[in-house]
Amino acid sequence: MIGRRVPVPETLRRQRRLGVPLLILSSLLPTSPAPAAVPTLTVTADAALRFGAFVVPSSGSRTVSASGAVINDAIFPVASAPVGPSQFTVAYDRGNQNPKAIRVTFQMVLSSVPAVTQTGVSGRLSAFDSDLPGAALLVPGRIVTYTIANCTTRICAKSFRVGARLDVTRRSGGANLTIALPVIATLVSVEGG
Amino acid sequence: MSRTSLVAALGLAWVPAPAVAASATGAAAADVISLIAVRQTRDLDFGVLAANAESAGSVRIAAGGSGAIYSGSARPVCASPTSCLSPHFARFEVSGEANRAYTITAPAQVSVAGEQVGDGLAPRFAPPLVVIDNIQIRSASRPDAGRAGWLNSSGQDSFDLGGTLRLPAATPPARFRISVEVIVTYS
Repeated sequence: MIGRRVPVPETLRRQRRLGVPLLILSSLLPTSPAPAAVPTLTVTADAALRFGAFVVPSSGSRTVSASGAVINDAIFPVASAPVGPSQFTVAYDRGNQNPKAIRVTFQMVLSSVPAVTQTGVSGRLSAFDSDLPGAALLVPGRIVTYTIANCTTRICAKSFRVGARLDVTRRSGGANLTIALPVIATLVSVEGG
Repeated sequence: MSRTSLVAALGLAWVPAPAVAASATGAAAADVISLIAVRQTRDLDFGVLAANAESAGSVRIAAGGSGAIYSGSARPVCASPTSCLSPHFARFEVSGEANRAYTITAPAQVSVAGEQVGDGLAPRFAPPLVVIDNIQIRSASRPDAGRAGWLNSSGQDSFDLGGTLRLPAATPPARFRISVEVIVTYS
């Protein structure tokens, strides 16, 4: 079989014909850096709203504001337990390193927060506040709109703190109360870029 | 045909659309602690004492110790050898949140009036007001921690309280005992 020309089967010839344009196509595809990532909007809960530890003879409240100020009413705080507002971060990742300034507008809403009862102790959150401009008073279910202007970085983020008042009624014993704080953010627009 | 449309037409890449909504659930947390309570189960009792007419004396009862230490002219007085009152420290029981530290606050000194004793022990008289100082506290959980204790996994602890009674000269026989008021708080 040495030196003998063997006819190329039709199927292989077809593959070779297709191979040329595929090679061209592959040269057209960007090789470096990696393709741009998917633009995303994320919300992260960075810190919990910490009311600390306290004794309540029957009923009372503790307010921890977004600024960190604490107001006690008919409770007896116990030292050594940390107290502070919660923090959330809303971030828009444009998916590339394009340095052009963009304007990202999102809406944020704090979902309704139910009261909780555990082993003779009940707690209810109210009077939410935040340090997000334009949302000093945060009402569950009410939409807050915020714009990150002139963002030139890949990730355009805004962190904000949330405080609230916790009313506690104690019938017996004690309890570790944990109440969920659901935050939903919706991307409204991305302008520029 | 542009590069993007060509790539897209061949199905080799996906042109993404931005995510439009996201959510996160934070939390609010509070540790509501059970009330802490203290109850005296026995008082601080120095028994029946007397002092000589010429000199004063003192009686020391250690927290958690046994018996009493008599100094100066202070001495126990018994109606009979078999009816002596046994001096003893005060004891308190504490209950509250399990596995929590607490602090005891007690006065630096207290005053107590002696109780008149009769039945042939001494003639009737006005018992003197005496001072008890050097108040000492010893908790069962932390005997060497002074005025601090630790509630166990059942939320229970106890502590003993002792002190030194200063007996003036010429104190006729009288019984000296007191319920010391204390405050316990979480620490």
